[in-house]
Amino acid sequence: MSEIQYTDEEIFEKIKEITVEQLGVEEDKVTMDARFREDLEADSLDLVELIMAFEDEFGDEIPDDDAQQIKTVGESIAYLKQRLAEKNA
Amino acid sequence: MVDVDQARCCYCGGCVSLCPEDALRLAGTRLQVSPACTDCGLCIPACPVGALSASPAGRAETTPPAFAPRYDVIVVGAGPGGSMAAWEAAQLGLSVLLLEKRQEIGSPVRCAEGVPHEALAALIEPDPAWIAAHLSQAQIITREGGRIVHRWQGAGGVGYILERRIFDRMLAEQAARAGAHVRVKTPVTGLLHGTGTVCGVVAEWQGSRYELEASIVIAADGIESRVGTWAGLDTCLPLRDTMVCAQYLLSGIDWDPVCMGCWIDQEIAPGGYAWVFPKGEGRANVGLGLQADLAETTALSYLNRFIEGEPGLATGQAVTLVVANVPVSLPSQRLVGDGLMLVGDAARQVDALTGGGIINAMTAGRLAAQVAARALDLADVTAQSLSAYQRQVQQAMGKQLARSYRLRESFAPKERSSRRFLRLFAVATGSK
Repeated sequence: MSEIQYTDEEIFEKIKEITVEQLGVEEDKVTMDARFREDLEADSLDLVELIMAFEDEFGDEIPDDDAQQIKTVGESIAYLKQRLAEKNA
Repeated sequence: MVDVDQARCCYCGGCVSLCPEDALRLAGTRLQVSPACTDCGLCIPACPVGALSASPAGRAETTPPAFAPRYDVIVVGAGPGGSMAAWEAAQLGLSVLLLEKRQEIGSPVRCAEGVPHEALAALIEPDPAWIAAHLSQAQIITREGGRIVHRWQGAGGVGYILERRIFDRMLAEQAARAGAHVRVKTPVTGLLHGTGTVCGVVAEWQGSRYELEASIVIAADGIESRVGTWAGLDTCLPLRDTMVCAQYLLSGIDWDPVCMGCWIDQEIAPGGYAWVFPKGEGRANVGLGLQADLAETTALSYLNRFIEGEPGLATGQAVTLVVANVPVSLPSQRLVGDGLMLVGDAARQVDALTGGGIINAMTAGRLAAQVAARALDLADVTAQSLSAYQRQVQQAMGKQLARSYRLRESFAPKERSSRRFLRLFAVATGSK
């Protein structure tokens, strides 16, 4: 488990960085509203890899059922913020 | 002693039953004549294909006008990739010759026959005539030292299990109906070269050698792709990028008929996996593929051991044995030459994680035919003109193939029992 504390801004920046690297998309396309599948053209395997990269960064396992609920960049940030808050509580 | 033309012999066995001296014998698919032969000649008129003669000189000659003087496209190999190319090319109005070295298209099968529903439906309307089973569930197990590490169970699976014997033949028949000439038991033994460009093939048909001219040759001749090699393309496969596969069609097993099963277990299938692809009525393709350089014994021995260890499978009787190698390298760097395109396993268009290649071969076959039609319109069949095919293949499957290869590389075999690999594998096999 990660001991690093993240600010909201850091979470967004990290997610953006990982998304750009994993999906090979332009940075300015990774907005809060961007949908991974439709807007960032990720397929199922891309999404699994992306979720695993988030897990690596934030040191937390994301269950498959939770992962399937995450459709947009904003939702991934909200989810990770909540997970990190629960962990640090 | 009577002479046997092995290229013509279709190993029907009729001659064997006639021989008064018991001098003829079928060794698998090869007819052998022993010195006991007295040249009585009884067997000669009994051969339906004229493969027997009193002496090589006395062989009956058949000289029908079997081929057109020239074709727009000759396709070598009537698997799904080749037949799809021939079908599309014929539909686009090209004159097409589809050549298959084997006596029967679709046999012997060298495949586990699984395809995802959506990808198949995008290429051809699914037909119950060649679909053995619909799968809706998948179970994937990772094991270490005989102990289950992770088990994944859920909806999904590969979609359809095909009956390749029927499917392949149906595709060739579609090509024929669209106007393609189809010839079986016609091995291609060489290429015709013009000034630096491929301009046809040399083929053997019913005992004679033919030089067949074509503007474009599409090589869909499988993992062994000799056509690519003859054209100077690098088709050599590293041992570690070869999956050695063995499979039985088992009858009488106890297994959920809608559930695909996969085992990732380095003791069962080093560097690969074992599978159960149900085919209905207590039958399933039960097989495994293992990385050639990691194997300690034959794939068949690994398969026997796997089946013995699974109670639901051990009761099954093997009614078919399928063996094959599957290329799991990166796709070939060069898919085209002057007057030549490579398709399917010949072009290494196989997913390195799953070993699946049917859909990619069919997609590539269709693209190759479309590019051929345009190149002929422009009267330019140079490698540069045909490189549109390479770009379109890259667009259609380049990302998927490169990613699967990268994932296979990034997980050492001993790391593949992890939850991470299991998740990736589940998605790669079409499971949700």
